[in-house]
Amino acid sequence: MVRNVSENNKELNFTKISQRIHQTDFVDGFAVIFIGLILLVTAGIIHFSFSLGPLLIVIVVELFRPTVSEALRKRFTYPRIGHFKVRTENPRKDLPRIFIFMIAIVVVSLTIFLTLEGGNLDELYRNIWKYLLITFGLIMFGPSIDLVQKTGQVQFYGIGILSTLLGIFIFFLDLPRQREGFILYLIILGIIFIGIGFFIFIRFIQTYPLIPDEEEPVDKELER
Amino acid sequence: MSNQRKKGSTPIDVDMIDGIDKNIHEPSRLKILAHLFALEHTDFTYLKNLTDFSWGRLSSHLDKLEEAGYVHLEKKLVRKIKNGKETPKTFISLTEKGKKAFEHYRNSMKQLFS
Repeated sequence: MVRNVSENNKELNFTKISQRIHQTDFVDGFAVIFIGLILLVTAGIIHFSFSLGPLLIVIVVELFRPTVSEALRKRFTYPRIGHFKVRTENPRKDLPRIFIFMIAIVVVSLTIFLTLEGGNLDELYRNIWKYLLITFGLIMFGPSIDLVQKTGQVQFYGIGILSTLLGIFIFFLDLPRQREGFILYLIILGIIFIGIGFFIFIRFIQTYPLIPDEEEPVDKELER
Repeated sequence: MSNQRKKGSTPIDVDMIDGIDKNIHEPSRLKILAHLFALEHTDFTYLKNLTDFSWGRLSSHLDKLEEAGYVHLEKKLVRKIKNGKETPKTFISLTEKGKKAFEHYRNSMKQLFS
């Protein structure tokens, strides 16, 4: 990906430069593996009925994620493409936009499902786990669209499309225990993301060998 | 005069051209700054791959940008995974002055051709 950057860098387009640099954030596959892990942990939280234990796991995972991610990058990524840290221009600015999108999806979906249940709130509540399969998939379009805008790579629509299609598939399986159906959905989705992440990681390792010693910037001209 | 001007063309403010920051306007340095603007920090290897410059070219332009106070270069010891030895690595980041100068340059260019 970094090589493509230099190959394609014929003109100075600031948006494209920013997008290409953001692409590097996903070049090693670790970000996708973490999405998968979060989905698996979420499945665990629901399975254990939102008890404190799994919630603590999420907090620990979130607390240590940047440290673990940086340690993995030091071990595998930086020795291959060099050190980098993408500048996040006021991350709080993007949050309300994504949050509003997700809330809108929830409100619209619930309204549609309520209509399908003939306005019966009890029926909606009884089938909520089943409807959540569709809603969750659509919600995943939030981060999906955000990543497409940041990186300029349409492949990130795949997150939303895959989540929605799998949700629809399990919805029509019509499993007798709806809650378990949703847990199954999160587990399958999590495993798929971890698998994709590992595939990206292996491809990254194969594409970018370790930088040879002579290419390291220890030339005399750099010594001051 | 205005009747002779082509449709859609606008006059260019000549005074603005004099005020253009020549440290940034040079294409190689502009390319370096444009990439650094999207990064918190980086090293020579990553920046070299992005810009497709040689070590020498990159180094000389970074020297000029450092002299202007636009970039900060810092040597740190990094442990190599191959042999576990620590080797010096130069980390590059845009300074606050550099960020402001780059943003000012971008706005000036937009104004100039708008």
